[in-house]
Amino acid sequence: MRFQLMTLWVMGFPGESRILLSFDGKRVSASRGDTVASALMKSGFYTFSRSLKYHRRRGYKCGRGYCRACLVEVNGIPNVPACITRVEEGMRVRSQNALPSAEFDLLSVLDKFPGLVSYKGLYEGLPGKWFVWPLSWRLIEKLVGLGRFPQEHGDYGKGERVEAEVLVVGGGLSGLAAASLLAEEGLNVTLVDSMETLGGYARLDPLEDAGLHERHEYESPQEAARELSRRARSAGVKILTSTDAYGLYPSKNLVGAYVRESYRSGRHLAVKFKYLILATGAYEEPGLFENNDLPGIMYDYGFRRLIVDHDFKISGRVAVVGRGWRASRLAAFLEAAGVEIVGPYGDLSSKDSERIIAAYGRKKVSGVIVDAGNRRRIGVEYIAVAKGFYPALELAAQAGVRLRFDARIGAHVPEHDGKLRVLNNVWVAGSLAGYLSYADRLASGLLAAYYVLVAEGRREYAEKAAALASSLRAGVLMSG
Amino acid sequence: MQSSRRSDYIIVGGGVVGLSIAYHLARLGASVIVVERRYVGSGSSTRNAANARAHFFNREASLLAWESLKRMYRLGRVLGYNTLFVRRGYLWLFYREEHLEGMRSYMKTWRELGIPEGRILDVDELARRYPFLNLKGIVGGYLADTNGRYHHDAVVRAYWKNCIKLGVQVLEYVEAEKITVKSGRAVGVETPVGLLEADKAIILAAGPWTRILAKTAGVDLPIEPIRKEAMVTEPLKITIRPLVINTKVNAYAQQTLRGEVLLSSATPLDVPTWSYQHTYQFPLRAAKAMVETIPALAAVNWLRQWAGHYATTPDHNPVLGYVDEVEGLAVASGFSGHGFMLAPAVGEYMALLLEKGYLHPVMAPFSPGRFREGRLIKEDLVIG
Amino acid sequence: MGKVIVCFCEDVTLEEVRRAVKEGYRDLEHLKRLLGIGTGPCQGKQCLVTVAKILAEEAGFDPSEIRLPTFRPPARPVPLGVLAHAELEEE
Repeated sequence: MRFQLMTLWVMGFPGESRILLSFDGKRVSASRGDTVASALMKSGFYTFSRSLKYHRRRGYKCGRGYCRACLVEVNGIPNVPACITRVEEGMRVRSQNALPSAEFDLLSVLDKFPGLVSYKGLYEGLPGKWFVWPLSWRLIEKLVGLGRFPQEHGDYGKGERVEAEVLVVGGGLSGLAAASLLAEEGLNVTLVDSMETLGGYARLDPLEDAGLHERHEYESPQEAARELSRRARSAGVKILTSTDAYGLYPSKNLVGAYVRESYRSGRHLAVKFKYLILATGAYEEPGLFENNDLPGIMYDYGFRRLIVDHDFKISGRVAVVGRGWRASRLAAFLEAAGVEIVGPYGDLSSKDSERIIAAYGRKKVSGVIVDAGNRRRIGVEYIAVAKGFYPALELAAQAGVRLRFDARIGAHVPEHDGKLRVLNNVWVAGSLAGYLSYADRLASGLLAAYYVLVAEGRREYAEKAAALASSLRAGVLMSG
Repeated sequence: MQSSRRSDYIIVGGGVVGLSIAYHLARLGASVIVVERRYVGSGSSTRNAANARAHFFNREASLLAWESLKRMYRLGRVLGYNTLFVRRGYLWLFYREEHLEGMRSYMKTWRELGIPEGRILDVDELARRYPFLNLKGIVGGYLADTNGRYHHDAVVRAYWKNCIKLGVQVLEYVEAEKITVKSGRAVGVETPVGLLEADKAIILAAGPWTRILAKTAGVDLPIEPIRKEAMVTEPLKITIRPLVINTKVNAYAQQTLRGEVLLSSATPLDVPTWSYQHTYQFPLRAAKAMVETIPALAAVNWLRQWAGHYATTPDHNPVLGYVDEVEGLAVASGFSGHGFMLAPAVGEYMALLLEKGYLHPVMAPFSPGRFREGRLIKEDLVIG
Repeated sequence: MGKVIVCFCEDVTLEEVRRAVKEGYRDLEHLKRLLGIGTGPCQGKQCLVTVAKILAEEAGFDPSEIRLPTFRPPARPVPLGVLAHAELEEE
């Protein structure tokens, strides 16, 4: 592995404290701020594991722990999301579902014979040949599963109970706006966010935003995120980061959460609330083109995070996928960072004249095929996908909130009463509620806070709420 | 597609039991309509733990279960659809000597009935075979390795596809509202799409809802919807092959055919309710119980929880056959948590009863009349 | 031809979803149980909306008519060890 040693030598400049870990037995050097994912990619490892059935390459994608494409084994603990796990000295990182290694996996031959492991092959592929079925399940039993059975048991602390007057789930613009205002008004507010740093999506967007500037006097989403985080802290909001709210149990006014301390430790949190604001944000719509799962294809957030948080050097061209304002902003962001881009392009889901129909590459993306009347191949190092937003509506939906299809965003949103209320003491805000622009997301958070204050008997906020609600409606019409 | 409103049989409930009966009736040449209030399998058939065993603690249920298990073995072959049955075995873990002794003596009964009796494992053998177990407090185990797992969705689809091939009409999202009785005879089922008429009989295979429908025909069946919950984890390479049952806390865990660990536990929340609502407590209790039994599970990620029903009768045994009060009305319900594994045999025996008038002796003890007549099926051995 | 992946956790392709819809599986719940979409580690966070769109297109439904499968906890995976150490509330 001459290439790797070279990388090590180039990256390990003296004076900076380096952390050493291993990946499938090979040495990887990382800096303190790295996650396992960013460390592996900086060392040239883009394939972390292999996929469940076809043993296709899997690696970093969403950058915030939800897409689970970057699962690896760490020190004997399986299915650890590399993108939200900090590097630690001596970590033994192993690829999963690969024989013998992620880079060279014998079972990737299954990708060539999809009939064997697809549902067709499984249930109907060998009709009349029932005598081979016992063989087929013996084989299946060997093949299924991602990680190994845990070799280590982890270290999980005793659970805790927390009482909050207001619980805000999600520390993006809307959640932060709601939490800081409510805390400033004297309420006891707890805010949980699944990432290590508050600010959500906005934190990674440093470019000017006209709407945000006009309506909220922040220059950029990043500035808004920073400023609101500061306000939330100084107003005394209890902030729990790296905390996943996993369940909402409305009859008990309770949210179950998991505080992640490391890849092998953490604790349970039962948060009792009087009022709850759900500002869980949204998931990103995947790109639809051939080989859309090659390493090097990432979602908008994941791509930005590499650059902003991990100082990842982008060498070579980036193809941007998506036709909306998010793709344009991403393109502008990358250009400002000195990265050469192509696109933005549509994909198989759009009727665009210029669309990506396929990606190609052996170990990771090395190019795209663009169809614009004629087909051409363009060499790229990465593909950044910035298409639609799917509201992260699990908590609301679990709790029995009705869902409504929103044609504007092409996905379901929680149905509220016209005043953001979805249950007796639960409100929604931000992109979860279907607001798309930064300005609207922030405003909807404030609005949810106004409604909570009204519910708390603060009449003076009723008028404010009405005014903000009508301007927000106008805003939605403008951006829609 | 031309759909008829009239057929020999109307089956209420498009779960595995209803579909199995429909399949066997259609094979005997009868015309059948199945009505399902939601999607096919949407009740207990998609919520069960996908395990089949022959070993029950009374003769009647053991015999029926063994007949069914034998059919389960070759179900895929018969239906031309791989139902992925795997003989993973059941492993009961005992924490009290008297339970182990009880089991040892009950093995004789199974042997007499011709059921493969399995064997007792001592603590050393448990440690050797299942190194993932925490053996603290365990006095021994009982392994029945002829029992196993199937893929429940595959089984449902296998019956469904065969039903359609044989001309059975399966109506999804059609809710049976009322049984129409004319001069003491059940003649039709009222639904939002109109009255469905049955020339020969109406069969209620609607899980706990069977009771509500039977009531519309003036029949009272003691079937209660007891909520039961289960949960699964992220998929792992398969290590926990048998169904590991902790008899102390009445909880179990096993890896599914896809490698997820499936867990369940008896909890104080197993109460009569129509709701499929999951609870906050269940995952905490089930995790506590099974992490104690299999400590490595602590580092496995939980992925989903759900709720279903045990359609439970006073003696925890099914209700199978014609009701006495109304003519032309039959029932296959009240399985008390074991309906899926019994469906292959029950479908066959019910079809024989309905179409040929033959009451199979293995099914006979489960008649609906037994509750009124006070002939409840007694449990010979109680563990836990 | 390379695969267009719709469900990244369970390796389900666009082609497979289209074929299943053509075969008559006209319900997200059935597609889920046949193909495994939405049952993997991400629990449908990436595939459900895409599959719903494909179903609407192929079967000629209006997207608003499509019934979503039931949502259940957890919204994010949680180690069983965390649950096992949680405080139990009195019911």
